[in-house]
Amino acid sequence: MEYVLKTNGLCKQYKNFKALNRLTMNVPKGSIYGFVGRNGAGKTTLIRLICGLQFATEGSFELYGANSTSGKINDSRRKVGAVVETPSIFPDMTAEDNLKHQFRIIGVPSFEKVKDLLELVGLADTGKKKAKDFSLGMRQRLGIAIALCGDPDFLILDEPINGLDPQGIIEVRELILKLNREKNITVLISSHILDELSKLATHYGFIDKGTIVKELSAEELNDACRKCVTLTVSDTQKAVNALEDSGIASKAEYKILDGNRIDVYAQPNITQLVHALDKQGCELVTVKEHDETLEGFFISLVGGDSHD
Amino acid sequence: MTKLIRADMIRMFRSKTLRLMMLLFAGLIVLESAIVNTDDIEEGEQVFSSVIFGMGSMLLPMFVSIGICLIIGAEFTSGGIRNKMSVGHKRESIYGSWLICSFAITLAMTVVLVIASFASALIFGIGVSDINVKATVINLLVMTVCHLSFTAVIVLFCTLFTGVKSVAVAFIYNETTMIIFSLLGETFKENDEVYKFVCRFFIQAQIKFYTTAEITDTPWLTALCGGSLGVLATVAGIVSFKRKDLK
Repeated sequence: MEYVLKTNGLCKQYKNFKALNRLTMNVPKGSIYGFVGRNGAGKTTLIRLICGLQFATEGSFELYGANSTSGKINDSRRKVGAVVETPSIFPDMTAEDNLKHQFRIIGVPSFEKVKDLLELVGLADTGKKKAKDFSLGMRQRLGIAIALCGDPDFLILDEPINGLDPQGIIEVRELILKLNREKNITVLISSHILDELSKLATHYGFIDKGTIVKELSAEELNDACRKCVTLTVSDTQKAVNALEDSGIASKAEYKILDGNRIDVYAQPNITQLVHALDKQGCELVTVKEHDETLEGFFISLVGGDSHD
Repeated sequence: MTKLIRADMIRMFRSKTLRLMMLLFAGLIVLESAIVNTDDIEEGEQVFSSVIFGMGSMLLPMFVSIGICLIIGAEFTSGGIRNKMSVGHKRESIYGSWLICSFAITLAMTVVLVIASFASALIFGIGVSDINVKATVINLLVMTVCHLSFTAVIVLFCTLFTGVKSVAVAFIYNETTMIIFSLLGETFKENDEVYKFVCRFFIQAQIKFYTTAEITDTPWLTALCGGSLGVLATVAGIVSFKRKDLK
């Protein structure tokens, strides 16, 4: 798999506080990578390091194959667009002027794309309205438009839906999906709003206390969160025969975990199941039902204790 | 860096803050001329040796420092600096662009000072015919070098104390330096060589020398001393900015 970003044991120490602790993560090309963690877990710190705003105390990262310690990192950063924390906009300028300013910074001589970008983010009709008079959602979309000025291949969005109203959340979500699907832009999106992230992300990285505690794809997460019954049996092969022969579950509806445990995603009739297992000479030891949400999964990873 | 300079120049010179500062500065010089008692203007005095140019010169560092701090500070508060760094601009280039744009602001303010002083002189009947052109040009050039050096110190403050904090720090630096040199001037005689040498590094200590109709003492040495302070501030600024953690 090709990766846009690979971090290798990144550490960031602020006086007595370790914001990142040997963080290792990989963002696949073309993915929407949901970066999940509580407030203060280290999400923004990592984004600041990638954008060059801060320096790692230890470790390094690779952006498009360029190591953070090499001089080529600035060339790789030209492929990146980022909205870090609050959108970086000049409040006394209009949306158009903000975009023109960013085009000048990048060194694009013409402003032909300004109109297209404003239309893409739904700000084409703002005219001479200053950015300071924009709603939070409009500012967020303008921030994304600025990040898109350099035609990035990799878009980094730090908490893009924080503080938005439901309509604003839908608009930003649709924009991100559009950019990923139509322009094949890889997106790293940090958030602690898990429900919203689950509608976007193709990959997840769960961060806690500056460390990635789990990295998995959306399919793997769905499997982990799917409602299922975990059977502990004496012989999984016999259990599989019992499930398939009796028509309780097809091949796609169960997953063998190890020699004794099997997850069944179909909703089996327990009496039928017991009869089928008995017929195959398989002993049923325990039955445990799982119904985990994304939130539940997250809590099970990082623990439910109070924030530090 | 040229991309950054172009972008920063356009933003700075289009900003309302700078235009307002220039207008206010010119207005204050004209206002001051209007309230100057004609008795305060001695016979044979011309615009560059008058109280009008003197007061304007004293106000110039304050206007320059506040203007620059507000404009560069906006990069930190608005997040404009993030937009520059996340697209791969080096920190040295960003600092260099700020420095060059700040020099442009200082020069623009100096032009405002000269034009407003001349305009006031003409409006309020202060003599312009007795100007010693050579002395005025040399004094103005040395003064400009010292102001550019002062600007480099202000840009250093902008990166050390980000945001609006830098405005307060620059204001305090400017005013305290001015007060300290006024007090030292009373203690030490102007022919004290050590005092004179220290004065050459600071524009606040130099202003009174420029509001004379004659060439100041060894102008090249003053330009060298003033300029070296600017170079020192720039080196310190780049070193500190390259190591600074930004938000």
